[in-house]
Amino acid sequence: PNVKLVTSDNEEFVVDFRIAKMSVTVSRLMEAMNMSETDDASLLSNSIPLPNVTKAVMARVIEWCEKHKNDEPKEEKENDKRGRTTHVVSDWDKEFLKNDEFGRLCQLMGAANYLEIKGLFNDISQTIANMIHGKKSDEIAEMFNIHCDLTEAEKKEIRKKTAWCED
Amino acid sequence: MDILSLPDVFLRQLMRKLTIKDRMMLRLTCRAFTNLVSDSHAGNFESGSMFTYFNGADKVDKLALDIGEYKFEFGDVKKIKINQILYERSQIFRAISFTEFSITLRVSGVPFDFALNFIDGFEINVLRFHVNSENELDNSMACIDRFPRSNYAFILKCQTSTAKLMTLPPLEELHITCRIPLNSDQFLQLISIHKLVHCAYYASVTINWSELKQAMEMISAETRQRTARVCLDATMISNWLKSEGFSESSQVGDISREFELIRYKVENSHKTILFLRFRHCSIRIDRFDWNGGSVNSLVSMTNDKRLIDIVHYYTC
Repeated sequence: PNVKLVTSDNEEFVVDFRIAKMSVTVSRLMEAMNMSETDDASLLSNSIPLPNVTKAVMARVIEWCEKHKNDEPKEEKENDKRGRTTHVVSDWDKEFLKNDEFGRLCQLMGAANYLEIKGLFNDISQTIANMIHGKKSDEIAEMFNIHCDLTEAEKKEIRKKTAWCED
Repeated sequence: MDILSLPDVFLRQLMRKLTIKDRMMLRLTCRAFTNLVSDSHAGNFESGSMFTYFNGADKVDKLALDIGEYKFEFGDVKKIKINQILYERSQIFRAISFTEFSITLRVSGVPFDFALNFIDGFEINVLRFHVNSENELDNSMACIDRFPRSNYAFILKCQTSTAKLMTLPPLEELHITCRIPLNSDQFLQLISIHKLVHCAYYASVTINWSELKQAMEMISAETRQRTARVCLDATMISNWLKSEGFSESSQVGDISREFELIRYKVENSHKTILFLRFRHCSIRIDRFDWNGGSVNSLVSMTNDKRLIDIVHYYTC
């Protein structure tokens, strides 16, 4: 069975029921509208309005969901070799997200948050964390266009006070 | 797009995924991130520890902290400025989660309260104390009320009375690495209270075969996960098994009375690991020798058979 999703710019996406269920938000809406997998009429006569997602972003979300529709539910318990519990971004997901500039990643993250698709939300936040990882403060500021409002004296003080945190 | 214009929920999620070092760098980028770093959760770590150690080069006792990937040095325990460290810690994260966090304060000079204040706000699943003195034991016991959401593991490295040992509240793990004499009733009582009991010191536990079988019966009948490990004389173990009908020629799969020989692992003539089953209790005997001898065998018993292969790796 298929489910109709309508974006903020009035684009209709027809997706498989399993894909629609990957979004907690859509699941809840379907439940509220008495739409069930076994009731084709309820699916045909209703569509799910998603006023916070645009057509372009929805297409990306569906592409991600298509890839992950058969995934087993996984616990965030994959430790890297340094004892950190991290979300591991798969090779396919890295490839999927690698050409998105920061603004587009944020739009996608916003949609994942609104639609409550935890896996996609975690993938994107981990991707942004990976962009920051290992960079110096001025490199981070440049990457995200951050205007530094700290004085050199303040920076020096922060560094001094947390010297025990430095390698 | 301005990263700081992202909704708060996104930024806080992001902060949970950064390493401590990355947080340090981020806080130097602008005032807003300085504040966000100090007011956010630093994410989940498998393990962490606060410990003192003797630095041979400087010939001083030092205090250090391990958080996942980083080791932080606070320096000479006699010179550390406790309030300053507590303040600085508050600038790096508001909260942090650990599957396990251990505290080892081997030297005097580091107040126990400092360690507890330092971990205030930490979410710790298992808080592990390496207890080196009677005073530390009292402090560790008192700490249980302060962090009621954590589970506890005590590694007792000091003498204490058996009576005090018996008053410990239910623990995730209790390792006794010094000689605290226990009779079989006390050993059985400890098994019933704690999830894992490890009596590492040879001959601490006075127990005969029927009492050890009683421990197996108890573990087998328990619905809660229970594991016990005890160091016993190899000759006694060998004689007990012979009395149950096993011998050197016994084969995997042999059943005698209620025991089943599950498998053998022979590493050399004096290093055999024997795996048995008694009802729902899996048994592992390390350093087993049919001829007995002067070595001490380690008998591990658990009602969670998944643990029997790894129980050997429970260390102090």
